[in-house]
This record gives sequence, C-alpha cells and structure tokens, in this order.
Amino acid sequence: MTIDRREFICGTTAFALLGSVSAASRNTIKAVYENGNRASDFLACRRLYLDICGRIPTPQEVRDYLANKRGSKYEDLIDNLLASEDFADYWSMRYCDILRVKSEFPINLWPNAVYVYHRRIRRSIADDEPWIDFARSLLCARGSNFRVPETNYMRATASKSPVGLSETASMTFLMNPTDKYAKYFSRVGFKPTKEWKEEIVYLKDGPADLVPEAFMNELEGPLRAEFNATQPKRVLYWIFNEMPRPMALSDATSVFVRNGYRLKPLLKHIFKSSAYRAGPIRGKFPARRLDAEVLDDALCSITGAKRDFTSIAPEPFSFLPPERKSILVEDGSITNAFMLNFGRPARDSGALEERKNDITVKQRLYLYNSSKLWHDMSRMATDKAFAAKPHAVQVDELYMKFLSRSPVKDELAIIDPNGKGDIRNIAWHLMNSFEFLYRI
Amino acid sequence: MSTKKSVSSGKFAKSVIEIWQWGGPCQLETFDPKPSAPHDYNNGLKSIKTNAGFEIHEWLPNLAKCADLYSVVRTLTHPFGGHEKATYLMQTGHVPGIEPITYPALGAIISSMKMKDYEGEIQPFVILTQAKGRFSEVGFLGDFYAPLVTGGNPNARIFEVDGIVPPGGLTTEQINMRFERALQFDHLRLPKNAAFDLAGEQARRIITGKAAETFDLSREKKETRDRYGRTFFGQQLLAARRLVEYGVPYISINYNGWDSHKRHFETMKRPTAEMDQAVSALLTDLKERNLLDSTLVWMSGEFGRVPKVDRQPPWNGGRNHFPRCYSALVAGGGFKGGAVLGVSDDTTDNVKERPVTPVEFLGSICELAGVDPEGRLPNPKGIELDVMPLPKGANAGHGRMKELYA
Repeated sequence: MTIDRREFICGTTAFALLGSVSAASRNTIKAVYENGNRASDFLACRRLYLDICGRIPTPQEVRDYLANKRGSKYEDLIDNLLASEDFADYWSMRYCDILRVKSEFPINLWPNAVYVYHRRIRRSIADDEPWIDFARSLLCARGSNFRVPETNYMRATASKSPVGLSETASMTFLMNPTDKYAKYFSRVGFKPTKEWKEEIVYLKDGPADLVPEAFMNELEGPLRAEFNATQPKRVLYWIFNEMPRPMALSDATSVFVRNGYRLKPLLKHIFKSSAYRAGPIRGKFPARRLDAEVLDDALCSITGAKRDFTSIAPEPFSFLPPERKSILVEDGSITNAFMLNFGRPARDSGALEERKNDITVKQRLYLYNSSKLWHDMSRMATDKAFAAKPHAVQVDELYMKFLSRSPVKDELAIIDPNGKGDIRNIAWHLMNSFEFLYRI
Repeated sequence: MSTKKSVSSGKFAKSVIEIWQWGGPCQLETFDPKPSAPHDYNNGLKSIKTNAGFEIHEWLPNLAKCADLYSVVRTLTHPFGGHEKATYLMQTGHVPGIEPITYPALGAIISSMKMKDYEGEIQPFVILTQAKGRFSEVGFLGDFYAPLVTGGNPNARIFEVDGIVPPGGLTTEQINMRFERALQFDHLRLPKNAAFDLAGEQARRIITGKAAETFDLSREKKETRDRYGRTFFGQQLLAARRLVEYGVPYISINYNGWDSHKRHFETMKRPTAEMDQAVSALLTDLKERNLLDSTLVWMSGEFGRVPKVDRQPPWNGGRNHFPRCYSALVAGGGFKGGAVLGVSDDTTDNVKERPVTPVEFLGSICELAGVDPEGRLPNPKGIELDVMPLPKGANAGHGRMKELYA
C-alpha cells in the first residue's frame, strides 16, 4: 500500500527558508497540515489515536486511513478506536489521576488495593458506565478493600478525617474542595483485618442521615448543575488543554446528561465538532505536549527500547514486565526519572493541574542529549531488518513512525542534504521537533 | 535601614550539601557510640577519641581526625517508625497526614528561595544520582523547581549525566551543526510555541557551556579522586564539591544502603568505611579550598536504629527502625566545628538532654542558608504557608540549634 503523496509533497523551497517565509510558501506549508480550515487527513488520524488511544498510530494505520475513500472514514475511525482496548487503557489512566490511584505516601492505598481499584476503574471506562452510577458506587461502598474495589475510593485520600473526606469527595465530584460536607462523612470508619494491608470501610454508629449516601443525594439534588458539569469540564480540559468557556461547557454538559452520563457519546460529540477538527494554523487548534506516559510509549515503540519500571517501596519490590505500556502502569507510586521529568502527576490531590504538559528546559535537555535515547536510536539503526533497507525507505519509515507522514522534499534538504546522513541524526531531528512532541 | 541580612550579603551559606542516608543509619556505629553498654548494644565494638575531644565509633578513623570541621547532633527525635512518614517529616519539617497538601523538601525550599541570586545554567537543585522517589521532592512548588536528577555513575570513566553530557562522543562542532539544522527544521513547525523555543535555547546553552564541564570528573587530579575513594559514593561527593564551585545552591546525595534490618554488623562495616573516607575528604577539601565557611554540609537519615540488636531469625543480628533518638552531622556554612549537641542515655534508647526535633534541625539549616524559617513560603495556590512549621508560644522550645551556630 502506498501513501497518498499529494498530502505531503509541496514542491517549494519554503522549508529551507529561515525567518522570511513568503506568503506563497506559507500557504504550501499549510497544505501539509490543513485542508481548508480543517486539519489534514494524516493529522486528524494522528489526533484521534493520541486522544482516544494515548498512542501514535502505526505507519500502517495511517496508510490505511489515507487510503480509505469512504466519506464516513473519520466517524468510523472514532467508533473503532472508542471500542478498542487502548481506549480503556488510556482513559483509565486519566481517571486514575483524578481518583488518586497510588500505593504510597500520601495516599497509601498499598499495592493490592491499587490493582483491584484500577481494574474497577478500567471496567467502568470499557463498559461506558454512567458517571452518576459510578459516583454512587464509589461513595456508598462498604466492606473489604480487596473484595469491594469501590471502597478504595474512600481510602485514597491523604486525610481520612470527615473534613479530609469532604474535601476529597467535593474535589472529585464538584472540582471544588470544601469541608462543607464533612458531616456526611463523620460516620465513615476504617479498620484493619488480619490480612496484610486489608482494610474494612464501614459506618460507625450515628444518625441515619449523616452518611455518604446523603452527599450523593445532594449531588443529584441541589448540587446537580455543578455535578453534571464537572466531568464534561475535565474531558474538555484534557482534550483542548485549557479550561472550557461557558458556552462549550454547557453544550458538552447537555450532551453528557442527555446520553445518560456516558463518556463515549460525549467524546464522539467533541471529536466531531468543528473546534476539534480545526487545523493547527488557521484553525488555531491548541497544541498539547504529549503526556509523559504517551511520549515514553511512543519513544519505546519507535526505537524498540524496553521500559524500566521498578518500585522498591513498599516491600516486596515490584517489577513490571518491560513490554508493559507506560499508560498502563496502574500505580502512581511506581515511576521513573522520565515520568518525573515529563510531568506525570503525583496523584496526591486528584487536581487536574497535577499533570504538567508544559515544556521545560530539563525535558528539552533530555531529548537533545540523553545517552539512553542515543543508545536506543543506535540499536534501532543497527537492527538487521531495518539496516538492510535503502536509505530513502529508512527515512520514510522514520517519518511515518515519528510524525505519521512522509518527508517533504525541502525538509530533507536541511536534515539529510546529501541523502545518506546518519539515520540517528535524522531520528534526532524528528524526535526534537515540535510536531512530534505535541499533539497539534 | 532594615537590620535583616539579605541572602546576597554573603553572610549566609551559599551552597548546601545534603547527604541523605536513606534507610536510617545506626547512631551507635556512627556518632553516638556506647562502648560501655551491654554487648547486645555494641557487639563489643569500641569508640575512638576525635581531635575535638568527643568520641565517635571506631569504624570512623578518618572522621576522628577532622572533627574540628564538623559538629554532631545526638538527640534528633520524632515518633514515626515508617520510612515514608519519617522521610517526609525529616525532609519537609511537616508532620505527615494532617494537611491535604504535599510540602516541598528542604532542597526545593532553599533552592527556590535562592534562585534569584543564582545565575548558573544547571538547575539550582541537583540530586546525585537518584530521586528519593517515595514522595515528590518539590511538593506543591511545581515542576519549575524540580531538581535535576543526574542518573549515571560518577565512578565510571564518563559520568553520563543524562541530558547534560553529550552521548556518543559528539564534538562541539557536530553538536552546533545539529542545533543549527534543528533551528531551520523546526522553524516551520507551526504553530510556533514560544515556551518550546525558549526552553530549547536554554538547553542548548547548557549543553555547549560550562555546565557539562562541571560533571567531568576527569578534570580532577588523580590524587583528589583517590582521596574521596574510588567508590560510587566517594565520587558523588567529589561531584558535589564541583557543583558547589559552580555555584549550585542545593545538592542532595541520596545515599542508599542504611536500612540494616538483617546482619547489621556484617553489612554495615564496608559502607561505613566508605562514608568515613569520603565525608572526611569532602570536609577537608572544602576547608583547603576555603569553601567550608560558605558551604553547609549535613548528613542524616530519616531515623536511627534500635539500640538493642535483634539476634532472632530472620534478623540474625539486625537492627530495626528507631526514631526516638538518633544522630546527624552538620558542618560549615555557619555551623561551628568540634561540638556535640544533645545527650542520649547509656544505650541511646532515650534522649537524656536537649531533644532536637526535625523541624528545629531543618529550620536551623534554613536560617544559616539565608532562608528565614519563620518567613512565608511562596506557592502557586497563594495561601499563607510558613517555610517551617516551627512551634510557637509556650511550645516554642529552643526553636533552632543555636548552640551549634559559629
């Protein structure tokens, strides 16, 4: 299958010019990324994979998409990706951020509980469980944290006092931490069992109306408007990388509620919107630096490197299989230097701002100059099957892997002027480009 | 005119070196030996007299010769026996599990407050070589203040600091060529993102400037390298000294291997000797270079170890966690040398005189480094927070370790 070259070949010297791009050339560059005001095909495809599956599409997936002549291919891709395992993996990572899934300080869920809780969250995403039902199951769960996964919601907080639980619950369901609802959590108790790190969440004696169920009733009653808007606000933030304007939020909220508080219809609505389909230049679609986990997965799948996740705390030590995707590392306490550098959230508070998607000097240093990445790229370049291919094919493959498109002639004039440059250098340029590091 | 000294007035420590003995070193086999206690407390080992007059453990012969350069705190105390809570307290000064926010560690506090007086291109907070990991070192201060975690092995032929030292033996010329091309190449990556370009430009300056040289330990004389010991830890301290010379305000060495639950005496002898050689070399080297007055060095862990050895399996002569009475070393940067603060009982089971709390300990380091521990801690949430939660009023106690101030 061949790629539709019309997408990419511009035939101008625009890419070689520095600082003084003429209007005509600028238009040709735009044609790579935009079709009218809309994102071009390869870009639309890349965005959907990144936002739904948390990964860059494989070269074959891009080629399939470009070769697809059906008028509904964009909508079809949304449906297919939302039904994939990758979707459940990636979006459960997001939910685990706001639900503070980590074994260690200051949350202290401990490993067993992390895994049952993560599995429960992932099932909720995969089954598209209504958020309102999920909320009730988290707030009203009682019993063993090993047997009733939802009880871990109440345990996943730095302070288990009524005030702490009120702040946590109002953070999760209203994005507005307050101690106002402490009374509803005054009877919530925790007790250990003889099983190591098992904990029972139960209700202590007290008035029948001072229970978490009563808080849930408030969410469905007087607090309904805020509760309804909370999850759509997060979803819009995750996708557009900024807090939504009132109009966009009320639109998303009504779609969300009308569809029974389900995530997938809301996502479909957003992905089909003109705001989401806008091109990065004229359409001013907001760029977002890839999440730490997504970037790590991208680099590992491109270079074939193995991931490195171990946890020495708590004992017994945890080792994850090296092929485990970074977005699937359930435990926020299991981390590595790459994750810390690229702003994976600590999951201490459940606040959206804990995840940092801005770019820092340290990140650019790492990408420019990391010996690990250099070794990884050296290994990739000397891989037998890869090394046997002609240079031009190698370059095209790298472009497809990093940027989901083929090179434009004039780009090559810069980074591969004589057509036989060190493949690692070309990979270095692609890896350090804005286009790779951001969802544009 | 204000009588308050400012950070840049030169009267404060310019740099701080933290040697974090992760796991909790034993007070008895370091700075609070009890040779006359029963055999189950000291395993029959003795103490030696230092050149300052006080006694330390016989495993520390080199530190015994330079005790005029440092002081010892023998009565640190707190109630937390688990690593993470104790570390949090001993790093932030805050009691864990009370407030729903994560406070920054001392390194992030001091480096963020001293940032405005620092012009270097290496981050003002450097960690050799691995992060503590059990909690976020910057807490709520945010990523901007996050430390540079070097990775790599300072005892290897090339100390590959990931990101700073160019890999693959590239020459400066090759690197410059790459950057020039990258600039052209990326010029058309629309839409432009100013933060992306700015960070890239700064990163380029670090790679091609003095920063990379700082980590090049091969620029040191062979004798100097040998003096610190050709060990991972020894060369880390040498790297720390080079970072002090560069001007980095806070350097933290995460020194693993002190959690000696099992076979304590067999496992701890070698690391203690390594520590003895490297720390004494660092202190004398700083002194010879006239840097000790402006460099504060502190060394401790999150707690000490149970004084009475547990002979039962599975411990087989091990020591478990013990926060009630443990030791630390402080030197330079406004601390005097040759002194001892606090007295433990005959076995180090309890503090006898002058208990020192972690917040008081950290507060003193802050003060000597020019950060007012009673001042406010800037934070993104804009709430009013103290640098250190020092007890006030009737409970204020000593507040600082003034006895050890020079």
